[in-house]
Amino acid sequence: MLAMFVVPYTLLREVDAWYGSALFWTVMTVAVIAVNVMVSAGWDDEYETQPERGQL
Amino acid sequence: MDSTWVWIGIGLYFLVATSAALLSRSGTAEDMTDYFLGGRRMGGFLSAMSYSATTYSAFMMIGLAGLTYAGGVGALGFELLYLCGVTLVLIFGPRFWRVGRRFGYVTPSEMIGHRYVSRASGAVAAIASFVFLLPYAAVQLAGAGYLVSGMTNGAISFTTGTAVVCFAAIVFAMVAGLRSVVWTDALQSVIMVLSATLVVVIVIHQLGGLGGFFDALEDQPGALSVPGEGYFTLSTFIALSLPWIFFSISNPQVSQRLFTPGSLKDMRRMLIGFLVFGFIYTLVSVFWGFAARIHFPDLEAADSATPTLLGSGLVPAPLAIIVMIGILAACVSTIDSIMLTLSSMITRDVVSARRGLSERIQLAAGKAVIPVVAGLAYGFAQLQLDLIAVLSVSASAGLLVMVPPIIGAFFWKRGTSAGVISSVVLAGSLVLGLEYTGTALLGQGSGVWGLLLAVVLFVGVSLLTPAPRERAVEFIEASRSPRHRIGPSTEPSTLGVGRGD
Repeated sequence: MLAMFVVPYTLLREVDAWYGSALFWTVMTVAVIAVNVMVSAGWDDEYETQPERGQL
Repeated sequence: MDSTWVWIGIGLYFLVATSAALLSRSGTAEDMTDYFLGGRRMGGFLSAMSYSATTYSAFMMIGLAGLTYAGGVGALGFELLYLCGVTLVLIFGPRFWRVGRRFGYVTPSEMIGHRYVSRASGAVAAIASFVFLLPYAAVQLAGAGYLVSGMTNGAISFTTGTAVVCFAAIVFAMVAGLRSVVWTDALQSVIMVLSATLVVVIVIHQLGGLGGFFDALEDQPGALSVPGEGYFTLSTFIALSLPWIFFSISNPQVSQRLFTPGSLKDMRRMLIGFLVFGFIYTLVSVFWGFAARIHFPDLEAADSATPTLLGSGLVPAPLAIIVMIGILAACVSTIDSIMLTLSSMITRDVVSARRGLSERIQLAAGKAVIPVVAGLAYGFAQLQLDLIAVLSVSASAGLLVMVPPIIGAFFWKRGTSAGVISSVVLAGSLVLGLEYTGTALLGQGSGVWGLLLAVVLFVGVSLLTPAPRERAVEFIEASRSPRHRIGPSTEPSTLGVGRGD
């Protein structure tokens, strides 16, 4: 996320095209979502019996 | 646009959403947890859609589109950084969820009050939330009023527009509390994202597809880089992004949702579903702003980009009405959640904490407070005071001062109630002062200074005052995964008891 602040204002500062900051931020966000998917895959149900699970 | 068609659109939307609210009822809510947290049994998919609709307001298709229009691609970076900030849920989500079950918390400020063994710190957190969020809700109402009034050239007045949206929010919140909010939010989130995506696809198609779209943008120097034409300086970018990165834990209308999933698997679905929704909706809103920039490069006010594009004839009239409904839905879904959360906080942490009211009376009071909160928001919207706009803009920066006490609750045993109260009151006042006077110290936004002062005060004052060690150990232990606990397992059988501070 720090790179999302730094890179567009330094390395990509002069790249005024779709493959510049727009692509960088988009790809980084996809990577962050992937990290969320992987890390949260380890979440298990700690209290299986209480309370009743997801009714909705 | 003919106001008859707008009324028909609003009528259909209200009918369908109210039906969803009525269908969501599941018996009569018996206590605060049932009404305000859906009994801690919310499923993952609906939670994800509701979290999305609550988070994303009319700001996206009007404010963010306007920001894109005015400043170019920096708007995309700012909004995607917010989305990435929701990664904080990976750290805090399960912890909120566990302590919520262990100690029976209904509101995040109640958690603060209990953790720091001080009802005053809970009340201060609740009042700070009220001060910053009520004007935010009022500006949402005002935005809806302007949109409806603008699209019908005043045939439907500003006052009527705000009244209709306010009424819808009250109905959706009061039918069944969080359950009806979640069901209507889910429906509204679908309307929001589908209508916006459809209209953007049509507008880009008219520009010759994605190739023509980007070619047109590359003809505008600075549109696709930062600082670009100069709007998005690094300081502006940080000032906008920083408060929003912490949104998921600082804003009670979303952090309260961390108490609600039926299981951690449901919380995971909520998190991932929200991230996917947010990614799509952000791209669509930014593309929408870019489309307005290409078609109408000389608008005087950036915020008029969306109404101009909708009224331009580029968007077929029926679709423009659907998009308008989508934006109204974004307003209503944000307002009703804020109303519900503020009502629970005022009832639980300000009134009941002092008088020790029973659950049944608290619930009755909580329901009664909802229309009062709505009425206040409506009143603020009608007044259209400059101060309201200031408070609204500073909402995210102001709530940033809650971040040190929340992080400290889970990770720092030395934190104290004096640290909480001093940091929230003084740093919150600093943010308000800076926003009111339009001061940017050293060129930095109010959130940066508010957060810095909050950290210094929370740490400094805490170190000078005695910490509630026993409660800190108990709380932090309960927040950990059972696999990582040091002491004996804390089973959830104590739900709702043991809060006798």
